[in-house]
Amino acid sequence: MRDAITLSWDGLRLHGTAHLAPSGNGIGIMFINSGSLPRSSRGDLYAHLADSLAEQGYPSFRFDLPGLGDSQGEVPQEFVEFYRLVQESAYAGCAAAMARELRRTYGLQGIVLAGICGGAQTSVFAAAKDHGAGVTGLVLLDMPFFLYRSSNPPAPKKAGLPLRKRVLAGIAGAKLRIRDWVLSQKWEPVATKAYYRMKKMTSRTKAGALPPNSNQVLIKALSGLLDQGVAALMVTAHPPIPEPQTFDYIGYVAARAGERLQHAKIQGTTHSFVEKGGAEAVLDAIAGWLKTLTPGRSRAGGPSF
Amino acid sequence: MIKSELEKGRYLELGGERVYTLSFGAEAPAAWVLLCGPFPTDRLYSLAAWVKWARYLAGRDIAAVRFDYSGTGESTGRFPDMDFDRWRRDIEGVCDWLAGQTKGRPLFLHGLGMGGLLAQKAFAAGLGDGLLMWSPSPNGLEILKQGLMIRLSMDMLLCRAADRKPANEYIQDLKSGRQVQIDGYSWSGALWTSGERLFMDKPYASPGEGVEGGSGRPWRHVVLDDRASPLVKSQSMLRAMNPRAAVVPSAPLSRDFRGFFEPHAAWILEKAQGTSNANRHA
Repeated sequence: MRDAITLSWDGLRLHGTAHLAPSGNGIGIMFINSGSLPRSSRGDLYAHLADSLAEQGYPSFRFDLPGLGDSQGEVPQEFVEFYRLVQESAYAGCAAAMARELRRTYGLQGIVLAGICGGAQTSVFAAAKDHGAGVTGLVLLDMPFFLYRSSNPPAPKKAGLPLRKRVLAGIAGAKLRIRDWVLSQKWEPVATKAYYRMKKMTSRTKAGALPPNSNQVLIKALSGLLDQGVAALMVTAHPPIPEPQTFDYIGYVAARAGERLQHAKIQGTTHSFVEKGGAEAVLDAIAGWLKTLTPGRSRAGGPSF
Repeated sequence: MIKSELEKGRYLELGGERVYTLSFGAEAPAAWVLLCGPFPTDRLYSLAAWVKWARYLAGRDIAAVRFDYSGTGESTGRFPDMDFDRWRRDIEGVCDWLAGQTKGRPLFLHGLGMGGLLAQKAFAAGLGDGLLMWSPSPNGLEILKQGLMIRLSMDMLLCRAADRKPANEYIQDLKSGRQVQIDGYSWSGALWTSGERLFMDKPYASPGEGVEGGSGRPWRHVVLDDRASPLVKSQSMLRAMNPRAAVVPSAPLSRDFRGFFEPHAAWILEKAQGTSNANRHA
C-alpha cells in the first residue's frame, strides 16, 4: 500500500511515499535519492524494493531531498557541484531529520538508511550525525569512496608565477584538455581500460594505503559507525565486462569492521542495478541481511528492540 | 512565493491502479493545467524541472497538477501490463477528477515528449479548453525506438560483440509477445503494438499554434532544444549522470528557467481569459 506523504524541513516541503507494512517488526527503511534521480530511482527500482520490503514487514519510505524530484528547494546548476555537496555531507542533516521524523510518526524502533551511489554516501553521513534518528543499519549500494571532481578545474592564476611553474601549469592544462577530449570520444572505454592496465603495471602505491583522491571523511564516518556497532550491507555491481581494477576500499574498511560489514557482489549488472536481474538480486541481498538485524546488534546507546 | 499548504500529493483510483498526482494550487486560479509527463525513462531527467514549471505556474495563479502514468514512478501497477492506450486513459481519468476541482475555470492540457502526443489525442477527443505541447513525439514508435537505443547502448557495455542483438531482433521479440528489458522496465508486445497505432493528428504536427476547428480551442506546439536541458535530455547530461571514474564533465543539473517559462505562462493566461470570455458570452 503506497501513501503520499510530506515533511517540512528548513521551510521546504519535501514530498515522499510511504509503503506501509500490514504487520511490522519495528524496523523501517528509508531510501535516499540515487544521485540526482527522483525518489523512484532508475527503472523505479526503489519503488519496487520498497513495495517488496513492506510486504515482508519492513515499512519503507522514499523522500525526495530538497531540489530533487517533487520536493521544494534548489540544487546547484552543475552536476559536479551537486556531487561535491553530497560527498561533503551537505544532505546529511536533512536525511537525519527525515529519519527521526519517520521514526516518531510511525513508531519505529529503528530505521535502516539505504541508497545507491550518492544516496549511500548521504546514508553514512546521516547515520554519523544521527541526532536521535535511531539508525540501526545501512544498505550501501555501489557507494563511491573516491571524490568526484570537475573536468574543467578553474585555471590557476599565472601572473607573478616563475617561468618553471608557468610551464608546469601549461603542461597540466594541456593534459586536462587531452583527457577531456579522450573522454568525449566513442572509443573512450577502450582507452580507459588500456590506461588503467598500464597504471596497474606501473603503480607504486603501497599496499593498504588509500589513494590520494579517497573520500577520507566518508571512510572515517563509515568506520566510526561500524565501530559503534551499526550493521552495514555493502552491495556492489559487477558488469560482465570487468571494469578497471581500482583500490579495494571495501576490503580496507572490512578489515577493521569484522562481521558488522557484509558485502554482497552482484554479477552481471550495472551501477543502477536494473540490468540483467540486478533488481531481484538486490532485493534478495537486502531481505536476507535484514533478517540478521536482531536485538542487541544495534549501536551502543541506540534503540533496543 | 509558493504556499506549501497548496501543494498536495494524493492517489486516485483509476482503472484498478492507484495513480499518483501532485497538485500545485493557487488561491484563486485563473486556469488549471494538467501536466502530462514524458516517457518513463525520460522522467528521470526532467522531473525536477517539470515540477519547477508547475510551481512557476502556481506562482502565476495557474493551478497545476502532475501525475505518474500507471505502472511508473509513484503510481502502482506492473509496467508489462501498460501501453499507450492505458496511459491515455490515465489522462482522461485525471481530467475527470479535475473537472470537479476547477470550479468552471479553463483546463489546459500540457504535455512534454510522449505526454505531448497523448495530450493531443485527449484534446482532439474533446478534453480540455486548450493544449500546450513541448517537443511532442510525432508517433508512438518514435518514442519506443529511442528507448531501444538505450537497450543497444547497454548491450555495448554489458555484452561481448558476439552476444549483442540488433534492434530488429528486439523488435521481433516484442512483436512475437516476448518482453524486453529496457532501463529497468519490462516492455511488452502490447506496448509496441499500441505504439504502432499512435500518431499525432496532422493539424497539430508542426510547430506553431492555432485553434481547433469545431470548438475554437487554442493549441500550441513548441520544440525545445538542448538549451532546455534538463527539461529535455542532452548528451552532456547523460555523461554527467554516469561519470566514468572521478571526472565529471560539465552539464546543467538545474537552470534559471524563468525567462523560458514566462511566455508560456502568459500564453496560458491570455488564452484562459479568452476562454472565460467566450464562456460568459455563451
